[in-house]
Amino acid sequence: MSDDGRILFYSAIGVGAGIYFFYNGFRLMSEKRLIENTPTSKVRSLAMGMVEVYGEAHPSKGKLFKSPFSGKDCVWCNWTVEEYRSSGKSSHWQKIRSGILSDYFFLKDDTGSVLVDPNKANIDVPIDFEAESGSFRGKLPATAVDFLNQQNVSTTGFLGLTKKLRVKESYIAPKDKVYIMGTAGDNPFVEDGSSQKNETDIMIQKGKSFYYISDKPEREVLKKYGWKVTGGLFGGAALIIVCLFVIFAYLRIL
Amino acid sequence: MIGVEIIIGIGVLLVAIITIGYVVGMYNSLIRLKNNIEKAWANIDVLLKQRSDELPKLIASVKGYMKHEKGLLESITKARTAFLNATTMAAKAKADNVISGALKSLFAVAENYPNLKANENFIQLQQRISGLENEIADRREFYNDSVNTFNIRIESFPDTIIASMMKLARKEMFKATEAEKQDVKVEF
Repeated sequence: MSDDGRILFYSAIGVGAGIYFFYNGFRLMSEKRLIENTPTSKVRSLAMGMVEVYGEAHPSKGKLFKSPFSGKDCVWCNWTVEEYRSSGKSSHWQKIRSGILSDYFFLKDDTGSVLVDPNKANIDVPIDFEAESGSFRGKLPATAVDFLNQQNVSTTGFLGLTKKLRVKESYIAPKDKVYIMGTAGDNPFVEDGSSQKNETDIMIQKGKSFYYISDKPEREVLKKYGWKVTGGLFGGAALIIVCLFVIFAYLRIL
Repeated sequence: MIGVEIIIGIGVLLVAIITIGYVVGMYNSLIRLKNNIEKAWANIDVLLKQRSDELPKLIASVKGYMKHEKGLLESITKARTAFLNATTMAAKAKADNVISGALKSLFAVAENYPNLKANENFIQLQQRISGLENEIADRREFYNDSVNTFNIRIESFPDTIIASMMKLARKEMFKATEAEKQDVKVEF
């Protein structure tokens, strides 16, 4: 492909990306408004439907995981393994394995605790642990090497040299403060009306509306949303205009 | 120069889409807030009815022990009747305040009756009603938060423009009476 063709191709992709960011900005704006408009409920008095709760994460019985690379206790964990690959002048990190350790957990506030099903939630948790291996980068922790061996990922390469690998994990540890915006529905593990406490009959899960879990308090969640909305709407619009400008300039329409 | 005009046109169109999207979002958000208040009230009402259903059982269980507290028991019965007959939110809120105050007094006075305190049925009812009272208090707080968010939004710029076009007015909070806020005095 010629240079002009390549620039036109990337500009067209830019227009597409701009439209996506622009559309996504509106979607995020509606989610931000939903979070702003919904007061935080106490677990003890949760009502069915869309709810916002904030409290500590606690594992349900026997559902405590060990994070694969740092070996920390967690109730939920997302992990990825990347390998450094070079081809000619270009090089990049390529994701070679990823996974999620997830099961029901409890959210506890000062009034009670409620079961949470994190399945299908948009879980917004930053990277808690990251490590690299390579000839000049040192070795991965033993826990990580053991886990990679279980996953059939070799940590050594050509002539037994240490492979350039990067591992990352994000997790929710027991007693981490968690913000949840989701749907309070029936708890499938408890027969209706059989429990003394209201919250025992309830499980927070994915409903018709969006389902969001974060380890940040509401104020920080909203701040992050604010940046994403502004970036999506104005960044997307700017990207569309700049890319169109480039396309028109190359097509000599300007 | 056609290209420049197209780009300016697209720029204007995008700004218009953002503006219209923002206004539509604002309108939908105000509707959602209004509905949230109605839902929050309905969620309190459910609990008020549940508590009201427990009151005859409570009175029946304490009547035999509290022969000297006839006035207190009658006030609970009257407040319950007032609640059941209430059709407006304000009337229900008023009856709720009376019931909550009377129940506090009843549970405090019950301390003077050791036999009653040891009665299994009374203990269960007291726990059930106290649980409901706590849930009502939480949901009342939730309702007031919903009303507060709504009131702030309809008076803030630029939402106030859309709110006045929609003829949205301030909503009243679910207030506790002064009597309810005071501690119950019990004489032994």
